[in-house]
Amino acid sequence: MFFERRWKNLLIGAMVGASCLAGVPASGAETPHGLQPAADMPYIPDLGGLRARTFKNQYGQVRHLAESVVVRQSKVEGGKAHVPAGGLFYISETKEDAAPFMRDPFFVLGEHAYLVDLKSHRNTVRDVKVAKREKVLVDKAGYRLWFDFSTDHYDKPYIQLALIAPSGHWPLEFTVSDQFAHMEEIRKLDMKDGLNPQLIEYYLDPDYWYGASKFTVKSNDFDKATFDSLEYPVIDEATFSLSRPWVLDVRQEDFRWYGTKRIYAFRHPEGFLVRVTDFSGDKVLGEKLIRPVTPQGYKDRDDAKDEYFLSIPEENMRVEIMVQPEYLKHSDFTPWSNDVPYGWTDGLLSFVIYDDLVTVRNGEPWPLDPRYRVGLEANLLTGKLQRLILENAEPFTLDDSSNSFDGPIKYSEVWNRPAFKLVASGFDDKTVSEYYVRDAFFQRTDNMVFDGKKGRRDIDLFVGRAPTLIPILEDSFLTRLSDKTYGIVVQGSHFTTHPQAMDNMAFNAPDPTAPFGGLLRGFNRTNVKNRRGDALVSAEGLVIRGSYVDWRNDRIVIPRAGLFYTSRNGRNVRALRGESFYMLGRKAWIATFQSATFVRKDFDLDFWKLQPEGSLHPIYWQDVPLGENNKMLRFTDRKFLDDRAMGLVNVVKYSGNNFGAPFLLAQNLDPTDPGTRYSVHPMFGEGSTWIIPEFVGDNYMRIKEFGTPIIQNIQYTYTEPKRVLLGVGESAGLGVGTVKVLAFDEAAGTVTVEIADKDGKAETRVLGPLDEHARNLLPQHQDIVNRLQLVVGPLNDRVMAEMDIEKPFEDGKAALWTYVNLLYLENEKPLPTDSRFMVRSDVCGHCYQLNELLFDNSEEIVLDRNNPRYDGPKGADGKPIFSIVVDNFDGEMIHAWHIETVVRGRVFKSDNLAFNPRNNVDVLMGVNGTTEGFLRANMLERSAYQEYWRVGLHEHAKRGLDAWMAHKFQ
Amino acid sequence: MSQTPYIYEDRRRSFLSCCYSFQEVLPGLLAMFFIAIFSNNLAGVPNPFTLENLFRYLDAVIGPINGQPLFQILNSNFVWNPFLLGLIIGNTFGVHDSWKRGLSYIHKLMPLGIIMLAPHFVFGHATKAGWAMIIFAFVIMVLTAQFTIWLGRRMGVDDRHAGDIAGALATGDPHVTAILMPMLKAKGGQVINALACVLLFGLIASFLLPLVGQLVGMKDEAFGLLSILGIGNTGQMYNAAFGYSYEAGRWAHYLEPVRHVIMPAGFLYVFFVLFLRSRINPDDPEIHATRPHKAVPLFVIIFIVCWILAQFHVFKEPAHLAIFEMVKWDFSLAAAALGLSLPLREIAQWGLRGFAITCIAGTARIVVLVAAIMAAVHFNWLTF
Repeated sequence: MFFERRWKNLLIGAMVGASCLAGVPASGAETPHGLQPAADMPYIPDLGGLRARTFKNQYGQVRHLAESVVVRQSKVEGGKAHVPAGGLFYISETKEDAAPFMRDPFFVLGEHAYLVDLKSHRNTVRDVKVAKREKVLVDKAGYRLWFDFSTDHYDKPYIQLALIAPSGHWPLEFTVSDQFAHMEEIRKLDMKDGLNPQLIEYYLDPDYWYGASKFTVKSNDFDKATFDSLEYPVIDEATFSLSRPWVLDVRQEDFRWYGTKRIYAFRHPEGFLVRVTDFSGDKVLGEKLIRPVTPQGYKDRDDAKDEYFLSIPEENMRVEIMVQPEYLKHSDFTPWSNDVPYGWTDGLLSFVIYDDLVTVRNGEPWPLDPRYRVGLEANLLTGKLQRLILENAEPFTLDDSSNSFDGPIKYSEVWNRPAFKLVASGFDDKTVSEYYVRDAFFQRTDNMVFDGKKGRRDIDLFVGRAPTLIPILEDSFLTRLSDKTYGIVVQGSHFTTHPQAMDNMAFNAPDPTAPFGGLLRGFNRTNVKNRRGDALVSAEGLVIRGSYVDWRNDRIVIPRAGLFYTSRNGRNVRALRGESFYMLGRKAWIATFQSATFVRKDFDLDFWKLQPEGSLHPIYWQDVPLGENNKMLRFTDRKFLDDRAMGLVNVVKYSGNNFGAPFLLAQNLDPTDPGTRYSVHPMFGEGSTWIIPEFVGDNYMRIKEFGTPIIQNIQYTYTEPKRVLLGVGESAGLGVGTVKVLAFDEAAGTVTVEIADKDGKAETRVLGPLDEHARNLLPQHQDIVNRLQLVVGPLNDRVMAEMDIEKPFEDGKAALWTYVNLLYLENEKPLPTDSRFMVRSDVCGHCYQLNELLFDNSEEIVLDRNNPRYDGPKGADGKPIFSIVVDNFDGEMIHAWHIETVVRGRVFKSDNLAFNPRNNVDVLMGVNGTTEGFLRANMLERSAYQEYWRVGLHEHAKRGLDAWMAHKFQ
Repeated sequence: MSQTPYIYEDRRRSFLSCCYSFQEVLPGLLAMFFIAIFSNNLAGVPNPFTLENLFRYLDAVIGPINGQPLFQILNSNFVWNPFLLGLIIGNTFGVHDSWKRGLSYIHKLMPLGIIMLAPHFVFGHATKAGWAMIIFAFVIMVLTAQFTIWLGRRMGVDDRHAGDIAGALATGDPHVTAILMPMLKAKGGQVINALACVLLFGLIASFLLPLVGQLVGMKDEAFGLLSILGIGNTGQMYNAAFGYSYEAGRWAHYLEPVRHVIMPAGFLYVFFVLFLRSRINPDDPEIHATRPHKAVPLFVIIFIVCWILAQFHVFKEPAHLAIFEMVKWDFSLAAAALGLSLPLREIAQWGLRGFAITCIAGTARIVVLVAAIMAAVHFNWLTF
């Protein structure tokens, strides 16, 4: 079983990796900024000196902090490891952000610090040119613009890009194009509640507004783009306090002792005159009128923040006054918290005195160690600090005689010393046999050369749990997670007293720890070409979600919609192009389809509160359905931008995956308003999906109108369509009947076609016109598609002729594509070949085309001793495409189960999917966009577990707030 | 005439009145408690300054060996840590008389801990490996135990000592020496001597076994099985298996429950063999093991009942995990008491003969296992 895997691994590398390789080359090879480590770099999640903890700031807001060490773009050559400047870096990151006046925690080389001040500006770069797949440098700091891919609507290009920070982090890919109607035009549409016709226009703006960032494309085609401007926040300076602040009640007209100093507070109408003096009170060290700090975000604006603090750099102190809650609830000073909302309802005015201040400047040397340069990276949405980077300022080499390089000197209560050390040894000409990182406490990682015989040709690595790992792995995570060198990774379940049970799993994701089986014979994954020669990856998969062990009844239950087969192409499947896809193991060609626009008006949307019940199973209830089993609307996150609430809304697909990135919705964040630093559109519109809010609050939205496509049915065939050239009066066979061209007009772009059945009964239609107007709406608009097709015959035995839109006339004849044996698949109806499964086709939210074929169980599936096997959906040949087989189940734990497929009489079995005992049979099998989406959602955790799995160790137990957060989201 | 019966009757309130008073046992219990909480990370005690954490830190400094932490290879765990700390304190500073009554609670804690271990051994967890594998492991375990007991007799080793070694070696878990302590009525010195013998042999074997595997050209999965049945002790067998290859390590993980769940059968086998022997030979002065037991001890019967109940999943997994946390508490206290009450000379007085029989029996087992596994794989008696 295990020793057969290496060749499979190669296969995966070839198939899955091929799509990733194209993303690797980058221009600007002179600097590693914005580039990622090698795709096969070792990832070690834990090293004692690199901390990963969750804290709360003074307002009780959760801050996930993590530190990491990264090496990128290194190579071993001539018996030495070469690391370029910026190739080795330390990263301290918060998943959210850190802002002044919030007492936001931040790690600084292992020390628990607080951010107290920031200086930032908005950088604008103009006339940036980028070609597809390129990562072009846009500034000296090392920001890059990455043109990931392009696709089309109505044959016009729209493009997807990301702005990559020097560390390699990017928050999301944005979509822009200069060739479509702007989203504000959507407001002019007059749609009714319910189903509406397909939209004519495709809506997409040339600019993308992302809070503190704004990207405006000037022109673009499929392969290159020119940006008029890229605006993004840059942090110039940050000040941290390396100690917890002193907190003293304010006594007006009196003083409080702070060490040997006195701090006076004299009440004024607009605040307090704060005076710091020496011990005797005679010598004034600093004095300023300051206002108490409250949680409103606008106060950290450059033109406002000066009113809220007194800084005395020569005394290494900074004084603020804040409303201090009575028991410091919600701060990380006390371990408990309750649900007091953002801000305090009551409390005392207190001095907050920060000391041990350290100020660092972007691009300048680290104060304790000039070998390292400081990088301060902003959250592109909020403009606040998200990452502190310390990178090597000069290139260095390691070899057997000089085998270590010290990390930056850290501040310490005991002695300032290198925060870590990179060690490499065992060099030969082109490989190294050992390298590791040792932290400031002398703890080390495992040797990161996992295959000692081969060695490694670089010393790239990522150690720690900084979330930047996720974008860094974007190009390689599929290859890495489907790597079967060590078998299918199976994480043992967390067994609880009560099973987590749901009646219907539609719109829900599988267990985050569900094993990912990767490729298995029987689930196709291959390139298919359309008539234009565009190669698209078409892949099948299987997802089981929401299954559980019902130990009271000695059985395993897969709830309704808990098991689904998925077939999906690299992009949507289009008619008139002869595009194919896989349908239950067989290649099929799409003929035609029927879609509509679903509109819902005037409804409420609550913030999605995921909360555990007594057994610690997460529960939620705020999804708003958009059509029957079509999509769900989910308000998943919120932020305050200059105190305006901004909501992040996800459209969730039936499969449980999100449709694209979350939509940002906010009001009164117009960039023309000088009162705000942020830009967020007051509505969302992309392609054919839009949301117009009436009110956006931090906890609730009122939606005025929401619209998105819905697909109703498709017709397809297993017989490859044929092209025929017919002159006037000529005919050709079409199934048991004939197709005949009665007339055509090249100038008008019309062909009169007659299709006759075997009895001579004929139907005639004028196809076209295929004129300029039609071409402007092809291939996506179904009215035009239907106008170019003639479908006749009884349901499930239809034939079809359609005009060749690429070359409609040739050699004085009309070119037709002919289809026979059309099969009809209707959404929300049982699968014709297996009534146990329902058809839940998913539509592209941009373009109305078929996005995914999805068949799921309409009834609960029960597996027990008497029924240890369950066959998946059956295809046209009556054989199941896969079977689930439970090999060993003791009534409480599943110890062995697998998935089985039969290909040409040969049985293929997956590894044991309960190698470590499981309490469910959730699984991801096959590699397509759907399984990829689920993997992406917990990429860091899966990558971390892969390392535990490699050496057979248990994952570290989470403690404190981290344990609670893990319970909430497990 | 002593007035003790009068005093006893005077104080008697219930059957618990036979115990020492709380004041009498408190110093000893406190000593055990503090050693326990500074040895292990115990449920409900968020004390970071424990020997367990110190060892983890040292593991991280030293770096993994074959992917495994060194102190796990050395068998650091919730029994070993408090015992070590107790041993150091007891032998460095001595034990005050006022502690001794409290330390005697080891005789209650050990049987209680053994009973609470029952949900740990669920036979169903091993059936995924197949019956052939289970029977194979069982036969090897019984043969090892019997051979070691026989060897001990031949070499004139005290039967309690030999029984301890037999149980630990056969089941592959050195802590079976502690489990067998109240069953065999073994002396503390014998228990620790036996534990050291099995640990030392396992340590040597865990580094030599990969060489043996390479010498005979074993397949990865077969070597995984060899390391489980030939060494047993978790950290050491993973060291051997991962030292051989990742595949072997993976298989060792997969097959480990087979060894684990039949463990009670191993130590019960040793107990019953020696118990029957002492009943059959009531006057043999050379037989010490189980001699003080007039019948099968109640805690052994309760353990067997609980073990049977566990097979029917009476103790669900969350309950098992909770009970195991209590087991850790129980054995931490008991091991602390054992360490405190054990002078080093008592360990040394049982000499090196124990180590000799461990090495002979252990090596013989490895030789038999290599031959048997190679044959079983060759003839497809065992499938992986």
